[in-house]
Amino acid sequence: MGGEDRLVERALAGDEGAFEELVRTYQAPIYYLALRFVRDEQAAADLAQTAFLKAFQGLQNFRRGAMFKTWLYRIAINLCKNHLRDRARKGLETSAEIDLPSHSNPLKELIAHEDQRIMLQAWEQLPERQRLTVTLKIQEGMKYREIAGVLGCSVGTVKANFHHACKKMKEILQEGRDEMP
Amino acid sequence: MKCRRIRGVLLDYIGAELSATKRQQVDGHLKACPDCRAALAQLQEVWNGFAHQPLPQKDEQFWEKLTRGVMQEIRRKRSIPAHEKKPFFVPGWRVLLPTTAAAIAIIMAVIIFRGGPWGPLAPAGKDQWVTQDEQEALVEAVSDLSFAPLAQEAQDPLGGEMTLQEVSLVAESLSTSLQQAETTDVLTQLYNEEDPYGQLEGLTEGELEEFYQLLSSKYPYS
Repeated sequence: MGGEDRLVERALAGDEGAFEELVRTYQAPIYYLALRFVRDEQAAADLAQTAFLKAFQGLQNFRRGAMFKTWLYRIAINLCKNHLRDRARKGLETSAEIDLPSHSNPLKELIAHEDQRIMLQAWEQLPERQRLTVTLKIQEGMKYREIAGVLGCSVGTVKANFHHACKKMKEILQEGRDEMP
Repeated sequence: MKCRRIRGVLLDYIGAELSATKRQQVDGHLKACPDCRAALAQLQEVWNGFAHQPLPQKDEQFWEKLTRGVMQEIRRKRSIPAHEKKPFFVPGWRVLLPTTAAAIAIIMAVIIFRGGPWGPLAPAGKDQWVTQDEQEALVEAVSDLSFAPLAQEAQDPLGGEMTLQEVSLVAESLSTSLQQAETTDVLTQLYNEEDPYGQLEGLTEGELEEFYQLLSSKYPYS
């Protein structure tokens, strides 16, 4: 039994300290996962907190032998999806801009800013499922099999979504650069 | 391996999803193929664009606050006494109200259908028997009438004149050939002291009283 499994077992037995350790381990990945999706820092922090609370409340239903990380990511992703749907229903835009770190070189900053703008534009055009797959694959460094577990689909679907997303991003980036003066 | 197949696995190559053998094959092809190397560079750029998406860096204080927030909320929820916790399912007024209304409606419908809260007021079919008894009583009563006015000629419902015997026959025919509903009508009219045949019109008060006494002795159900 790994260290994480032991922590989960202890948390299941009512050990709050063990669950706190799990929170400390996963709070950054869950927060950034939410932030990439909802693009709102306050909402991302709230969603991360809610994801851990839901995980704690549902710990009794957690299937022993399954990966805690996969389970936690699934909870967080569902919360993010619900949040985005609620926001879309209310017709709200992202309320807060992400406070990006700045570069020391102004020219570099300008180029980086332009590239980021194109990337962000391309990112926004991707379907939700593809965005999720790309986030989990590239930004979270998960394997296809793991992503399939989180998203509840087949490895083939994950691969197809990932390949489509990258192909589309490549095209959009190319078009964006062609249009640049 | 052909270029087309190589390009199909380049993303898996970057993402370390290929087996060692396949990876070696791709490495070998890339060394010899500048076009596939260019395709790889393009995909790598997309990959890096995703991977290095700038995100705000958070300090230790932020993470500490997040952890504290989660744990405080967990402790708060745990400290709620069991009797204050919301049970798994408690039907609220939104459920209870329509359920109660439906139950009352069903009970009322059953009461109305059965003719009373404890079942039918009269046993099933009794009304029919009463009607038949009434018919028999009428026939007997009319047949036994022996006082003079009724023995004399009287008017029938159609305006003709008829003897007592004919009245008996009419009464009998009422009970046998007329519809039960019509007979009931006649009886009702008699009870209401109406005289559809005009036979009681010529009776004196004493004779009329005698007639009703005779009728009630023959017909005790009224």
